[in-house]
Amino acid sequence: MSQPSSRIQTLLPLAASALVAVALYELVTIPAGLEARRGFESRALSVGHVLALSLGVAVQLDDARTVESFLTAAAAEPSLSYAVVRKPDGKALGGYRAERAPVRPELLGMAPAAVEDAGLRHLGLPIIDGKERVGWLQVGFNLDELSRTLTATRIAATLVALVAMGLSAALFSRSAANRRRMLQQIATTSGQLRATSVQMVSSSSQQAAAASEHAAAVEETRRTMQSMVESATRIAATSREVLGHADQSVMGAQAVSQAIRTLAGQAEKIGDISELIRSIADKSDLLALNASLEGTKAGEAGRGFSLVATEMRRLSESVLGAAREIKSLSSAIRSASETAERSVLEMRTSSERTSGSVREISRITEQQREATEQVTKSMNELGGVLVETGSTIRRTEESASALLRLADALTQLTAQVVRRSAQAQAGGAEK
Amino acid sequence: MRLLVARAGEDRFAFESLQLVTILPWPLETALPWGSLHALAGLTAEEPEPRAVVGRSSGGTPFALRVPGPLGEEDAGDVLPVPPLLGAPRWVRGFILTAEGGPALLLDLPSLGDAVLARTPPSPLPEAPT
Repeated sequence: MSQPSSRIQTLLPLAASALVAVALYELVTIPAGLEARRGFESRALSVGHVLALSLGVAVQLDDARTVESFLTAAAAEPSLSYAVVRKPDGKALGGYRAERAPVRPELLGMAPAAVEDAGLRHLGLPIIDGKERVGWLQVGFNLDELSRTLTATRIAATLVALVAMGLSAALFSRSAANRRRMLQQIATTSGQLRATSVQMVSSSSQQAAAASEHAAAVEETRRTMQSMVESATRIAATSREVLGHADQSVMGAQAVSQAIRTLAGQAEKIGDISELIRSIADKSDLLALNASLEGTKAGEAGRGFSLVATEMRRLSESVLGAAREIKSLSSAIRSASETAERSVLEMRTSSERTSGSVREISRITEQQREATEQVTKSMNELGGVLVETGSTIRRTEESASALLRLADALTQLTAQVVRRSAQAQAGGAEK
Repeated sequence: MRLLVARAGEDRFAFESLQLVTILPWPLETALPWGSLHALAGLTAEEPEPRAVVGRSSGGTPFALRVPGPLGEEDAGDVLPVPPLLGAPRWVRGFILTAEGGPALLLDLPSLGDAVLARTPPSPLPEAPT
């Protein structure tokens, strides 16, 4: 009875080493989780089966200490809520958080059974040693935790622990058939472990390359954003300058408009004055005409008078001509002033529209600059995150490589055990 | 002979200064019977820069004739008769050759006054142009 226990004690360091590996890989998180719901059922079942197979001898021997050791090792699986081993009479031989185990008689049958309640998946598995059912294993898995932690690393870590336990259990199994079944299970598990490790290495390399590309793209985007901020700043400065010119144009247009109105008013006054002059000249002409007439009536005595009157008429006619010209000029000035004022008004309206447009451009540019700065800030933060992610991925890649080496070693070890077991069986048969 | 010359359209009309009483501005400020030189010449447009030439009819009644300005003055020589075949009205004395070289009809103011008075009885003051 004590021989198998001592072999278990000898092999426990191997299990302990595997558990160290579990702890190591659990520190690493791979961003892309596997499909949770679909995978966790087989995962839970796989853990349960390996555990049940490993426990056969210890339960047969009533070795509570070994049972506790296996259950504690199985607790490396983070979704494991509880585990309890019962003898055929229902008495508990050992457990891990056994107080959480519900009383579910339907789980303690000849075949594996599973039920789900209160966020837990409960498994009931018969523990076989040789052909004899020596007890039951009742385990519960937390569904949320099972889904959340279902990453390649965690699966691989759990498999490492289980392979180690399975190897140690297989070495002291009394039933050759049971041993073969366990070794086949372990060989399969080792293969899964290796495939997972290869997948992890490949995935990590791809992720590292993708992260590198993302980092380059982010840096390029950051530079573009910075360039946009500088452009927006220059546009804002130019807009302010244009706005200043436009405001000056508006004020200038107001001054010109005022000056033109003054000029038009003065031209109108000139027109009034020229009209007055024309009226006086007209009356002078009439007076001179009448004077000339009177001189003619006076005969020879009025000849000199007529000559003076005629000269006066000529002067009056000259003044009339000049007055007409002045009036015409003042009318032209008024007309030109009106045209100029209309033009200035249009110019002012145009300048005000320009001012409005420039203010709008300035406002939009400022908003764009703020938004771009925000994006640049985000890009900087994203760049930092990507660098951190890249670092994490590299660590994952290193860990995955280490896991792959360990998987290879376990596969070789399993092969050796299988080979030696076969040789020992062949030797026993000869004897 | 001293003449006062007015232009109406393409034609020129002359008045003997000694037949004139005075020349007044238009519109008239005194109620006088008046006629229009443009109307006599068959023109429909009103006279530009009008003035009123005041004369007397053969009976001594004063009247006004609205004529276009400006008025010219010149001394003329012989008054040439209008051929009878042309059938000129009685208030046309003849024609003269102006200093510019063209002919001008010399109007007889008393006869013209008779014609104006016959056509238009003494009328109220004409309306001022607007």
